[in-house]
Amino acid sequence: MKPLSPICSVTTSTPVLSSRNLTLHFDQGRTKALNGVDIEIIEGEFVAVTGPSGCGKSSLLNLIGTLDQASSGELFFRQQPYSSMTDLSEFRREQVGFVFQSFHLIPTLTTLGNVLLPTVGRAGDHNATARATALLQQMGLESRLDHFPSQLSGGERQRVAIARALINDPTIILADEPTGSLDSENASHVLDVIANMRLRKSLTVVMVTHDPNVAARADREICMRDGKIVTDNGVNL
Amino acid sequence: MNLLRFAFDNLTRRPARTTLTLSAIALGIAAIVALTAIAWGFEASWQKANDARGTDLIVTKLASENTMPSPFVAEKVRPDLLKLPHVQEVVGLLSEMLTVSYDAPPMFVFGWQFDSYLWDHLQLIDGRWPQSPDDAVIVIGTLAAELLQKKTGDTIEIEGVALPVAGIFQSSALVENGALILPLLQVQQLTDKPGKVNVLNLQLDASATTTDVAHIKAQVRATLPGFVAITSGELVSQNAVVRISKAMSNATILIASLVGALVVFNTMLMSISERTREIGVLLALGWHPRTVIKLIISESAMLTLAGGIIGILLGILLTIGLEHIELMRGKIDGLFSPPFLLAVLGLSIILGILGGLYPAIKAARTHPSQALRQE
Repeated sequence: MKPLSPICSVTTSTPVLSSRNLTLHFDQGRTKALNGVDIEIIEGEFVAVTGPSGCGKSSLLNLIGTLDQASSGELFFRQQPYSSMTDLSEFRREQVGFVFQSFHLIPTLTTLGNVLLPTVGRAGDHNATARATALLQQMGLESRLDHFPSQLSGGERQRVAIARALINDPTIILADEPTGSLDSENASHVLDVIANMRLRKSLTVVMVTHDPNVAARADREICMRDGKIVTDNGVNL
Repeated sequence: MNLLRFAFDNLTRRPARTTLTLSAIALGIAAIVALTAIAWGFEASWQKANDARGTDLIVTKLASENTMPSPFVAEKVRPDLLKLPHVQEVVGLLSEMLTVSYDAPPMFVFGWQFDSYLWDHLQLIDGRWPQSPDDAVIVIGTLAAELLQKKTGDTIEIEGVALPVAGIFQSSALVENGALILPLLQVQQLTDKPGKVNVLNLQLDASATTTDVAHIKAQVRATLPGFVAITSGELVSQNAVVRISKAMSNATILIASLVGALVVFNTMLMSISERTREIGVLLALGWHPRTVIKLIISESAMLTLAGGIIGILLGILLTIGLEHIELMRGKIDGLFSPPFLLAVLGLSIILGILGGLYPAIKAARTHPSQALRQE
């Protein structure tokens, strides 16, 4: 990894994300994935969302990332209601970067090709390749540009996925169990990368994890149970 | 990141399936190209033969839609035709498709009025021409000589009668090169059709205009019931073989197009079904559904474009191969028109777009979170 320039603090008091009484129901209301979630995330915050399996962590992440639509309630991005957004694809492409547990790299594309995927169809983006190359250099993957996912280790694949999430300079990184498929050494390395990138790029990071050690790397830990937030940084709600 | 490159990479992921789909499309396109080239070539070859003879109008029986126009007694109409304005010559012609050798396929045998302009365009390369209407000899085209392995001085048996080969000629029309020509009287006697011809060829004087031609056509229709005066192009296009081969080529285009579109449809549907999670990833990364549609359509269009190019080459090779099969030699002369080949290529791309449209729309409607959960 290349040395990163130090940045002391990245948080501001402006909420980048907020929600009001957010619910998400499946099976015609029989399954309640989220059951009245109110949350406010400040710009630049590193938030870990924890809780047991099925508590609604990933559902919350999917709603924030517009991969699902809320059954009721409202989400806001910088005070703008999600319901008023006309092009959710554009929002995902420009404001959000996803990092998945199982990387979800395209096997036929090289490292560089995978990182460039979110730039496809982005009008007027002429320096995407230069940005992708620079990002991969920062991730210590400069010698892996032409490698295919099958030729990379788990840790390398996740770093490629992080570079892919960052290619369009998003505001928010949504990471769903980013270290879930990695051994402890690679997990620690990936968390370092996320933390460093967050500092360098003033990113807001929302990371779902069930691992307390991973959650400890965040500024704030939100714990969920049965579709509700039960504690926020240790404070019972 | 290039969308087309990505589409190409996706096709190479499943080489066996891509190859099978390509093969199916290529075969369909090859069938279209070969059948159409043969149908058009057949028509062009006959028209070339008629045009080379210098015939301006052909008088034949009204319902002559068979391979050969129905024979009729020439002298019943010839005197009337000679009275028409601008008509210089009226020349009889009798054609038959006959077996002349056990070792060779049936061949065209033409009976041409002796000493008429019909012979003028032929180039004698060996031997001599028939000397009189009663001269019971054959002249054969170069291709016929090759197929029958005959030379000047040999004999050929027609309808049980052995006739000497007086000479070998060359024509600019393939159909004539593969034919045997005798004086009209000889063919009438051999085929037991005394005084009969299939067509009467009219040569007009140089001052005849298109209006005059139209006038002659109208007069023939009005004064000679049951007969029609048509151009060589009209005669050929009305010919049953030409019409059947054109209908077959059109039917092949239709069937091959439908099969091609269905093959592409099936392939792309399977492909997107296997890649549901991947499509979910693309949508999660901010791909617009329109971009997903473009990707899938690009894949299917690339597939059919490649299939089209291979199919065209295969079709050309197939036609050339057929032209050299003994049974077909001298009868087909494939015509490959560049606009038609371009149209076939266009058809291939359209098939790709049509076949990939529904799978593309289905892919674009993928629910990203559900797709990402899929194993």
